[in-house]
Amino acid sequence: MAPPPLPNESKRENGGSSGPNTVHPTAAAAQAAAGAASSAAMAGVMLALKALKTTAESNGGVEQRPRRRQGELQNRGKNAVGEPEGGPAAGVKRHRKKRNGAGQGVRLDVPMGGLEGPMVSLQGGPPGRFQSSSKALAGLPKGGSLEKPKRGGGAQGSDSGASRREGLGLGSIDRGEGGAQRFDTQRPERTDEESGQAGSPAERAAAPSSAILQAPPVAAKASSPEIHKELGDANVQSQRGGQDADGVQIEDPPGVGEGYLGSSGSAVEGLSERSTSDSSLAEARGGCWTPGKKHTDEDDSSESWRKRKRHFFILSNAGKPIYSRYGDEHKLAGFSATLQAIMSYVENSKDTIHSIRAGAHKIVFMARGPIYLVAISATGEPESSLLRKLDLLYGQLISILTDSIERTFRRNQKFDVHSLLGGTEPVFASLMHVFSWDYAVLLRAFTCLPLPYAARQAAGVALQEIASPGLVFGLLLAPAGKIISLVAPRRTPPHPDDVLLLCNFVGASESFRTSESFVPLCLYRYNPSAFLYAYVGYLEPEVCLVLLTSQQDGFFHLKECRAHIEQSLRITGVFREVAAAVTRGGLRVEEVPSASAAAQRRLAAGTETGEGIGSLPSSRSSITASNHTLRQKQTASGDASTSGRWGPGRSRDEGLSAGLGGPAGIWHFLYRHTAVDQYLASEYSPPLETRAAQKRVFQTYQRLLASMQGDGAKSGPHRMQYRRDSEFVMLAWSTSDFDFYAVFDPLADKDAAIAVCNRVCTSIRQIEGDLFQTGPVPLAW
Amino acid sequence: MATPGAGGNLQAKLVLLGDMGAGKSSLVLRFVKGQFFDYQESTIGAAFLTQTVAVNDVTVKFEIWDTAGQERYHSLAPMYYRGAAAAIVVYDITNTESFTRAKNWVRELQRQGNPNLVIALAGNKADLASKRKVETEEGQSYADENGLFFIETSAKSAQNVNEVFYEIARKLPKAAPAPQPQGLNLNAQGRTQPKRSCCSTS
Repeated sequence: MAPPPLPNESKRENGGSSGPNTVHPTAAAAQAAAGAASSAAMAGVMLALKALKTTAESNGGVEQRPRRRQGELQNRGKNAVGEPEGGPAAGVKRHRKKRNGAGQGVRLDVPMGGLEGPMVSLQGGPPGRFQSSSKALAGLPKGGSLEKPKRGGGAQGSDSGASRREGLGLGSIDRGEGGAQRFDTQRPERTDEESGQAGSPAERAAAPSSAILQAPPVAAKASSPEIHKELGDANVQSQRGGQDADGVQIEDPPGVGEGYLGSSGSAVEGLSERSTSDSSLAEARGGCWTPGKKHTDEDDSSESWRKRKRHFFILSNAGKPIYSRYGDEHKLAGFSATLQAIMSYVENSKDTIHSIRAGAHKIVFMARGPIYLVAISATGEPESSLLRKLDLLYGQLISILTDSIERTFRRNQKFDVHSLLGGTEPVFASLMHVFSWDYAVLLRAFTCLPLPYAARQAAGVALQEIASPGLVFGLLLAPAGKIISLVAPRRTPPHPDDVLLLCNFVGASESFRTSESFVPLCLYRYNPSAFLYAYVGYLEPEVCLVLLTSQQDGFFHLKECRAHIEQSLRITGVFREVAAAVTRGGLRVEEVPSASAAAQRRLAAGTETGEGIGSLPSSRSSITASNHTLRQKQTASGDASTSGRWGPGRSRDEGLSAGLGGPAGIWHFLYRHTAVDQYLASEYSPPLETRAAQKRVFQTYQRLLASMQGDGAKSGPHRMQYRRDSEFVMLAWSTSDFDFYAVFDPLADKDAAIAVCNRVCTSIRQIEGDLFQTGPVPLAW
Repeated sequence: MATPGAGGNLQAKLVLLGDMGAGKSSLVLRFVKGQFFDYQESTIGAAFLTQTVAVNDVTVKFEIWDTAGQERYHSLAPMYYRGAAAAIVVYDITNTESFTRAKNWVRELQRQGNPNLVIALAGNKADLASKRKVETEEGQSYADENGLFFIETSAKSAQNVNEVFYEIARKLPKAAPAPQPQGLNLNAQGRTQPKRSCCSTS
């Protein structure tokens, strides 16, 4: 398990820079430049869209362009290597190839957005964005101005620089080998002046610097996790990076990982902007999610609508709006038609459009049969995460309508689906909330309410008792989508996405609280073509029972089952435990066992376990039923504080100032248990008590995960990363048993941070019976 | 179907039908729990509630299916009104479209339901008289033509809410024992309007 030599690292960074993601510095610059003028950026998008629409619609001179493209296509196919853009574009090609089958390598440069200016084609001289970007990387002195990479090294090279001076908006469509296309539009409005803004000290300080460690795969010895070994040698490098981040001068971090570093600065910028311009969202939410769709009075002509950071649309392939996150769908018919025109324009050439970049905005497209989904985001989040969200959005639509809607569309293209979605606004609004706050979206897993093992077992048994032929799922749900127990037939374990969408559907509909309900519902990962029938009833204000059956007339049987379950849960005291667990909340970073306490505990494990309080069994094997009963008794008898079960030693003895996270400055962590597709997130505690900070953490994880999964990075998925930017130190660690992600104080010491991560992972594994639904009794019918 | 239980008790399945936003859930919640919310969330699927009322010397236990008014749930409606002893078709007096939908529901019930089905037509939101779009006479005359029991209600002010259910309870015992000419009339009425095709309403 030799640590990676430093040269590797730099190589990787360089490699990353020539990847397709070098566009990101542009994003950062654009975001920075956009600043308060984000509405202008949105206007730019719309202008670009309109331009394309006109192109698509008119048949005259514009038709030349596709033909020209054809020529280029052949050319390129023959001697791609010799072509100037061949080298850099190769990254794109490879990247695209993953997505789609065989296509043709085409680079299309379409002037976009610059309706008023002469058309300038970049195709002769390649946009050179990759080139210039790597140049920027090489030539940029440490701590140099970010202007150059951001502007020149961004989306366009020097060629585009010239055209920019002419006030032209340029769009380039890269069509990779896989038949994928990417539009890059440069906002015409952007001037050098703005780029100067982008390089302002504040921005520079905000841009991250970090060390990427690509460690060789960690052996699956997760029972005694040691990150330290693998990270040890990289220490120097990352420390230096850290200092840079703390100071003013930093290295430019050209795209390592999809947009991660490049957009990190923009995220910082975007966030500060968010706290002002987008604060209306936080205000509207008031710290919690409010049901119903907001801002229905807006449409694409309203300034406020354009300023929204992240839009989601569902439309039909005939261009009819089905859903829009903001605004009234009917008023957005024109905008939908534009989106449809873009997609079908590309489709007509037997191709698929994936994304458009326009200034700070990224537009991501997804086609699912006759249903089109589009996300427009100015939050700087990775494309992969937008695609994931579009997929979930589609899943939610299917969960309401089943995929028979596709057949309906084939029969009648003009069919208006929007009318079928009456009353589901809260479901979609809640899904949008989930997109911004729920780690289940990022981790593709569900989370359990931390509950004494015995209580969860009892709940599982209660659900198991009601086995009946048609039953597909039995689910006991606590608030915030946390699962108390989930039982499914052994052969068809539930897909985490189905669980997520089901929880969202049930949680969003307040009407379930008033009475027992019987609801047709489709699980799109389970069977997208058929409805299942869900019995939904609240046993207690905090405990919701969901039973899914395939039998249409199963209600009364399930109603009887409910009575059995309710009685059984009451007898075993599960409700009491759940109430306690809900008040108690999840694990808190302040209570991470400290080093000394961990050592003491190890010594005292044999004797202290009997006492219960604060005693973590030293090994997995010592977690026995009796231990759990003890713990359960203890919690029931009033000592309900989490500290009893988690982290007996307080962080305080490690000398951190109170209220600033846990030991070694750990602020938050995520732990994903791979075998059971479940995750655990620590509670937010100071200094992450504000919504803005929490959102920042969420977005940081979002980028961290995307970069871990090798999104856009050439070297594929990583096992481990340690990063530092001006806001956080981030640590990600992936093993075959679990994935672990944590954010720390930006000043955190790396060795200490790694030690804490090891302790956290060890502790979690010791009490995983309480945190996850696992255990000796297979919870299945 | 109203089924006699032990000791003169009667169990009756009752279904509420009507356009979305007409106030079905509000009506039921007012009747069962005495609650009213200005913002009542859309029902998803169908909600099941029970309430027992005593009329004369008979206790009637209503098993109420409060269906969702959304169009996508329309195809599920037969599941709920099949075997029902009574139906309340609700419309919103401030919304003519909901009245049209109500008529369609009545027609569908007459075509497919059993002849003994007790149907009540409820014009809800009577407290919003100033915004009234459907006149009382209009509802009354339609009800008379079709042999329905008509009443205007307000879930908000609780006006006539219990009356609907009590009146249905009173009619049930009579309906259960013998199919009277009344039932035949219903059927005949249904056939006099042949041009509507099945299910599709708008």
